[in-house]
Amino acid sequence: MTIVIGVGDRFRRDDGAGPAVVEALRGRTPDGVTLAVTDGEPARLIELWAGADLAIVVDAVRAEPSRPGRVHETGPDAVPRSGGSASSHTLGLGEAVALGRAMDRMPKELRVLAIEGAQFGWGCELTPPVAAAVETVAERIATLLARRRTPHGGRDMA
Amino acid sequence: MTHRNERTLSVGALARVEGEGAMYVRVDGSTVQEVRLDIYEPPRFFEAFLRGRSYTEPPDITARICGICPVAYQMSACRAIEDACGVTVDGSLNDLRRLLYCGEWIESHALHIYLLHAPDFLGYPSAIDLARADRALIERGLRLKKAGNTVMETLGGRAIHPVNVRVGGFYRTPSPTELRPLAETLRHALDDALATVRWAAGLDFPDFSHDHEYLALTTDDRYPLESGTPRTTGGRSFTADGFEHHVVETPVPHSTALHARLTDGALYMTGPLARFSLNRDRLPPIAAQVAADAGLGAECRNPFQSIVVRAVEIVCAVEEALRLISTYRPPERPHVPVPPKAGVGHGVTEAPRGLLYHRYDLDAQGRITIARIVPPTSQNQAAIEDDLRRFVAARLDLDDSALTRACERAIRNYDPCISCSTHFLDLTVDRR
Repeated sequence: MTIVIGVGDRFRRDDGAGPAVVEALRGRTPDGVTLAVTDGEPARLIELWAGADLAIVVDAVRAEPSRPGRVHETGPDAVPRSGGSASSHTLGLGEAVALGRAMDRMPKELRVLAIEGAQFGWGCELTPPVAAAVETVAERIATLLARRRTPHGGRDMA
Repeated sequence: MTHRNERTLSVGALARVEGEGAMYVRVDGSTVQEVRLDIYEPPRFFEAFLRGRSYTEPPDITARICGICPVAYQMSACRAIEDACGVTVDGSLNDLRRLLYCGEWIESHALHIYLLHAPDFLGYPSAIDLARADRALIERGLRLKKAGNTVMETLGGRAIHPVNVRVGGFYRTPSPTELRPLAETLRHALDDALATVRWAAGLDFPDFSHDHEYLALTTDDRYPLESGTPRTTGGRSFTADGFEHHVVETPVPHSTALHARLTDGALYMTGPLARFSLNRDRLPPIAAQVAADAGLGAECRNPFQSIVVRAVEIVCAVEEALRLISTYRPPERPHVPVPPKAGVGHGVTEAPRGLLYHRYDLDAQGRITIARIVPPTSQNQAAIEDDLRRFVAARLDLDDSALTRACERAIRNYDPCISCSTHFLDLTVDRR
């Protein structure tokens, strides 16, 4: 099973980058790929990715110094415990990885695509560099998935 | 510790986004001078965002205010709009709403008990450390949470921001056959819920109590969720449209949230302790029995024991959900028509964290001219600060870091929307 999880809140400006990537991927992924959007609460994240062969998580981050729209690609070991994500989540992705490992509920492979955001206040608009990055990331994921087609049935949970 | 007259404990980044929530405690000698809890408040943004929109939109839009309690926002929004339009939703449509709400209570309470609150009682810095030490305990919490999640997915279309709820009812209602697997899930969840109460009842609780007036919905026969009449332990009772006459919100300089008090200035508290204390005799049979077995009396006034009350409320929600499924008859239509009407509507329901009030003013086309949302966390803020003040005053012998940890723990009792992040605080302690 392959799942793409967009983490974020579309009412918090650039925090909506993850869900926007999932939206942009609709109709562009092979059969057998599940699309999901979540708020980053660790128990939900590990529920979504447990048992997956590949989970791709797309999240917004705040970085210092900041270059909005820059995309970081990492694996589970490079995800920090709290503080790294500026999204309005209950706990960070790092906590989900730590909890997933403690509970033995990790995907076989976890890839994290983090988009640097600029504005995280209330509002629905992504800033222009982040909106541009959303399309770049969606294209990158679509290409990756096309190369790794899976035969199983997927679900749209977004 | 010895030659210090003034101490300041400052906890930044209580909220999910830096700078939006903080705790500040100033102690001068042996006197607690000031306690401030700065809680961020998203509803203000949504109130503005809703103005000018159609009366059909609040259930979907306000569901986004909180990832943990979207159903509460949907239910209060629907009630308020239906009230404005003069429509009542009852019978099996209301039962389905109640069932959906049960799912949210189970999920939210399981999250709070196991992932946020339990580490405090068992001496672990986080649920992750607790999971490493006692995986079976966290597994039980995750199973319960998932059971709640399954109820929300089955009825709401999905778990996080349910899409199946609309003004007047649902877009689609399930057949009894579709609900059958849910009953099986819930029967297993009942065992986990009962085990949760037994476990929680055996924890050690700091000696602390408060005497705030409690505010909760009450009904004639059932534990309140999706409907009821606001009532207080001080004997006040009013209908939803009287909420703004009985509860006064005033701005305070240190917080974006407004502070709520009853009209005579009384501090009050809403949430599980209030709900339980005002509705203990309306618990369904199994929940009533385990509450008694757990040693809960007629009222519960120790906020640290809220973990037991939440556990009892999970039993209540599972028991109610099973009852609702067993008696379910599909409604004739998935929703009743709600034609727009100029007017003002008020809605109150019991979110997992307490009473949630919505008000909408509509014009004749059903456009929203005023939206008002009063969430439980902001209602409780003044009472929480009062509790913290007394809690700190009795623990001035602790050093700054121990006192700060104690305060964070105390705050988690109230399950404020910010509580999730308080295990991972950036902490600064200033000494003057």
